[in-house]
Amino acid sequence: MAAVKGLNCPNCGAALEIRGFEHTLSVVCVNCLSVLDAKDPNFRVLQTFQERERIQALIPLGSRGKLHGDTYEAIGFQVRTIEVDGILYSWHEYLLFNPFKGFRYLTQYNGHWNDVKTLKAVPTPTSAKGKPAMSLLGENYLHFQTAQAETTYVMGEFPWQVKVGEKSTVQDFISPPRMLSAETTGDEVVWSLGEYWTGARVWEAFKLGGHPPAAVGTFANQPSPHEDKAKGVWVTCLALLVMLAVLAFLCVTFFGQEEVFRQSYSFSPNRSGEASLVTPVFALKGRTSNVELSIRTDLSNNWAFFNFALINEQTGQAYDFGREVSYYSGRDSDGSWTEGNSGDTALIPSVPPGRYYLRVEPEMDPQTAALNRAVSMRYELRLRRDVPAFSYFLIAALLLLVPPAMVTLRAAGFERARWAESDHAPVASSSSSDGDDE
Amino acid sequence: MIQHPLYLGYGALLLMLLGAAEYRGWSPLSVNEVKNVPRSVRDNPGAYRSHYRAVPHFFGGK
Repeated sequence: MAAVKGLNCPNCGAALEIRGFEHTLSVVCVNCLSVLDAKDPNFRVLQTFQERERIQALIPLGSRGKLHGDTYEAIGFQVRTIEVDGILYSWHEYLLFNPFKGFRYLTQYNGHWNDVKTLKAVPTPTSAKGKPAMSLLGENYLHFQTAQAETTYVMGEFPWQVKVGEKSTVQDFISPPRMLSAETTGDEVVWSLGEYWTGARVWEAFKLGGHPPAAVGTFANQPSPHEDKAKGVWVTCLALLVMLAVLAFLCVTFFGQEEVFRQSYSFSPNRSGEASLVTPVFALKGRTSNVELSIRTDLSNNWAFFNFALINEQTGQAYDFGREVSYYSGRDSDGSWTEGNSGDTALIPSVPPGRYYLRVEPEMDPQTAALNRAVSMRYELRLRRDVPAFSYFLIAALLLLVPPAMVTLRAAGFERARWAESDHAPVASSSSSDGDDE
Repeated sequence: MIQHPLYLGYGALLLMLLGAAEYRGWSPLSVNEVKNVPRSVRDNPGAYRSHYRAVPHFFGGK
């Protein structure tokens, strides 16, 4: 690793430390923040004034850390600032040096870090997903932001003539977790490739004390914690839906669905006498299972209510329930309309095997009966044993879709938050328009 | 699928519940179970008092 070359600042006399050997072109005095020409034998002062307030580097200069298996030393620190819509955004850049591997950078913004290396290859322009993009080694990087960056604070040493107030145009293209950046100063364009790092990874690499600052918000090339989950959860969902389909097939194939009773009747509320009736006895075989009762009527612009009791002839156990059937139709200014249905179906749950009969007590509009209008209804009752309930499969399918839908929504929310900070932010809602102030 | 053990467990539980519900014939239909209905109901169905008796509604069309 580089030895420290001891020298003094010509401005304040403080000791200078040069770690970058002949690579260092400028050095900043840690005491008075003067920017000095490292190639000048007398350390000519290039710039004397920076910020009134000192900015503390999170990685102290001189710290050594292991990145990609090699030891790098932090030798320079600068703060760069862009202005977007009148708001200043600043990020920190740490210059790292290894005498055999060269330079690389660590950048930090709001607790989000990037490990950056300058590129020798030049990416080629392209477009992807409706955005301008750059292609590098077969990977497309979408344009995220272009801004004018200004160096607002420097500390340590740099392999170029660093200067506070230096401006360059920065273009960022992303393919999380990577970010491709072009920095244009005059005619010179420098491309670099960054990879997202967490603060914890940086702290571990440099063995820094305490905890890294917490990451705030969503960063441009921050990998989505939901993307892989979203893909995987849909694969699992598909497998579960296939199992659901297999289960439905097995139910349809192996359930008896035996018709145990079918009979047609008529009913008139005008007719005097007992309205209730009982069916002949029928046998329900097999295991404890459901019984499906289907009612078909010839009702038109009327309703009927059926009191049912499925009674076990041997044990005297009864299952009481009621069903209402109504059907209306007509024509008005909107055209023809219908309401209700002239039939209905009910599933009687968990009926043990045995010999049963059905008690039926139909009712119709008593007002109609009072008017002595000739109203009558024909209806058919049909009972089937051991019938698959298809509505359950539909409900199960919807319940299976809920978790992947939630994960997908969260993933979409993460991407919205990412792109909200870009030049391609989704258009703001109309709630911010002038008309809403009224 | 192993990446999502919770979801897989949730799905498996749901399928097992569904299978059990289908096999045992469970239904959300509200039925009242009545014990010891007299045999005379077969001869005199009007004597039976239904334990499930909803009040009919007159919809009256559109």
